[in-house]
Amino acid sequence: MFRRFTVKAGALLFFAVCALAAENGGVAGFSGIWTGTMTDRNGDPQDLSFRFTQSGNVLKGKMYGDNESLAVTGVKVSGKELSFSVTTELNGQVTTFLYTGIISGNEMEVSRTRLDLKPPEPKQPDTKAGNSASKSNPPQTFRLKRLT
Amino acid sequence: MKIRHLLVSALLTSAPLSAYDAANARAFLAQHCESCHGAKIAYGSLNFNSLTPATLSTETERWTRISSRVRNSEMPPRTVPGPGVALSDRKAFLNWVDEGLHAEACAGGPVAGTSQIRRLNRDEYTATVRELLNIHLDVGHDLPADGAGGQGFDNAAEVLFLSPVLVEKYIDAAKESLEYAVKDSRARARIGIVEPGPGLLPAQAAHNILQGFLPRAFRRPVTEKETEPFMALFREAQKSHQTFDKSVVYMLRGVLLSPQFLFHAETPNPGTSPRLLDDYALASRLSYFLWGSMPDEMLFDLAEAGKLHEPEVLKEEVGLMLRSGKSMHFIESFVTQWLGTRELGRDFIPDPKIFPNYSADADLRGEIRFQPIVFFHSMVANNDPITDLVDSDWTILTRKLAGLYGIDRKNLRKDNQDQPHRVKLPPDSHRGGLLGMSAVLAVSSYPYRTSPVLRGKWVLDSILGTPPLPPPPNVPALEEHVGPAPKTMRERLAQHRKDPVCSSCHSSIDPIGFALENYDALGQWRNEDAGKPVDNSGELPDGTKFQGPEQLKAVLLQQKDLFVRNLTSRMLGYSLGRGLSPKDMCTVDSVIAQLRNNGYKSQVLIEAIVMSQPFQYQAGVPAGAPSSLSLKTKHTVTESR
Repeated sequence: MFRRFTVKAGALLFFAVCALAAENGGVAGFSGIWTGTMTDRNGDPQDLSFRFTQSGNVLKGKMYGDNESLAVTGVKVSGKELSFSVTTELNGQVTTFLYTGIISGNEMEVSRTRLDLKPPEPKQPDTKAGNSASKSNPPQTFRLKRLT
Repeated sequence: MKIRHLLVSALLTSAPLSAYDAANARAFLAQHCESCHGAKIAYGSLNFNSLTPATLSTETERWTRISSRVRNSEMPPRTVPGPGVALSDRKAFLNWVDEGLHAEACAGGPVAGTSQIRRLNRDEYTATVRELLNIHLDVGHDLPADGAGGQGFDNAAEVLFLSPVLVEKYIDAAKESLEYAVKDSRARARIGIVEPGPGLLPAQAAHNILQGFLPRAFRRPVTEKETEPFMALFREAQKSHQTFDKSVVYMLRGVLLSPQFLFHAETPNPGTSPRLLDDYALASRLSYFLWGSMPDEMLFDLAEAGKLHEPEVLKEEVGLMLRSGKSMHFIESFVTQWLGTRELGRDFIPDPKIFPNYSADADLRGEIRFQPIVFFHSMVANNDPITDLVDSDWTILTRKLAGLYGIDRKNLRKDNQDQPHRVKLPPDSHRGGLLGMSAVLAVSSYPYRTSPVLRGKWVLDSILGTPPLPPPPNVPALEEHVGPAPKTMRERLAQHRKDPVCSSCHSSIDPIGFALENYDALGQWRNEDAGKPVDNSGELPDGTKFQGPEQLKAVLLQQKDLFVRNLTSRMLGYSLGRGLSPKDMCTVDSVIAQLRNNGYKSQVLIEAIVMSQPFQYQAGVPAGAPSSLSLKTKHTVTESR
């Protein structure tokens, strides 16, 4: 009788933890292949795909590329929020992008910012410099969908 | 000769057939065939006393051959005395055979079809080595060009055999590419070369390379046993005191010469029932269909996760693959082979004296060649209907193409007009669909003049999929400029058609070409030919009349089922890398039904093919047949030495 109760309680606890993890994201919640489409600076659609894998309590990842994958670095998970960086190199020019995402079920709302450009400044209607910085580096937002 | 007339009129009209049954077929065979294929004489061991119409469902291959020979008017032979076969009789008999075969093929729904072992063709080989080694080198430059087979493409198993000369070329190509790769840091990283050092013996380092390299080269996971023959090559090189790099090159040459690398080698299905492909084989089929190259890391990861067969995942992946720049390979390869425009600028060059604008301008030549490719790409990217290929209110233009076509540049986008881009066509531009494109109009002409015959044949073959028969032997050539006054093409062809032998066929072919006579041999618009106004009127044998390209396109669109069937069959054959058999007709029908239900959207065509039974399944071995050839790694070692 006691043993049956223990099994039931254990199962309940397991499901409760799983439900909590799913609700809050957590390292396990982000594992899988994610894909989405972002609009680039020219207004053209650009597909982005990532794979995150859980290794212990750590989340590792990569961003798929046309030619080769790029490493995802600095992964941080806090509840439903995820942030990481991806560094690209094209013709010797190195660029780092910071991604921040909030998971909601099988989708993730993601924001991407180039780190080598000025972040947008608070709106200053009378300051031309402020407008120019804002135009040059607005965060780009898009949605990722879980593929697996 | 009459069969050409019959074929075209039968396919261009959709007149309902009168009831025709096995008794009628029996009478047809008795009247026209049994004197040579009967109980007394049975040429070719064909006896219609035993092969009765009742055997249509059991002797499908024989009936397919019979249908083909009757359709091509090879049978009954023209030399047989007598009145010959009336067109209506032949048409009715062929329809009865075709409908019976179709019913038989579809009795159990779509089937997997055969899965033949085929070699990577030259383009696939080049792209695969480039991707595998991360080198930007045309390693296939010295390989002979592959011929076309199957549905007319160079990726068809039927033509991708391996000759001794080709093996030598592969040995050279593997050596050249690997010797280049080991000197390049990016390529070394892609191959996974880590030099031996403290704590890492050369053999261990070589083994590590193989563990990463071999699954990518074979496009599937490999066992430890499969690495052994290549490790033996490494040890052999080391014994000969070769450097580590040279030993690795020697070892990897073995990989690049192995059948598992050189062939699309799916694990044979030993059973008698169709079997779902494993995820790795599906990943390969997808990548060689849509990219002409090996799977990328994401496809491998999806295969490893066992998720690729899930319809939602697969559809998403197909979308991603089509949006990737790598899909241009598929589109260029498919479109240029389908339309025959691959030869433009190679074997087919418009006469430089007559078309100096073409010969003098390399940009224009490239833009003409790429117009149908970029058009197809744009159509797929925007999920436009495939009927846009027949007629559309848009096309792809550049500044120079617009000039060639006499289209005002104000219709182009404001910036970057030298890049091909999508343009909404002004009214009366005559440039909608493939038939308004210079590349198509040029390859269906002679280098120095138009040919209504070639253009008519091109439309019947490439658009409708109903090619006329080749001309009979000893057919007289078209008379060129004989007499005091130059004659128009129509006048010269009319003279040609006075010969009754020619007339029966050309009355079906020429009218289509006449409607396109406003385009010269480079596709430029003209209102006169040889000083006389162009007569662009045509009339098909069934009485359908039209004038000019717009009305011709309207007639073709009335027959869009033929066009859709043709495009579907060709693309299915391309995707499978083989010719289609009658058993595949159910799949074609199923894809057409999905297209019809979805407004003929172009992405639906590709998705439906990927989701189809023959694309996702391997047929089993028929009971009693020898099992498929299994590819042994042993062959590799022998070859590489």
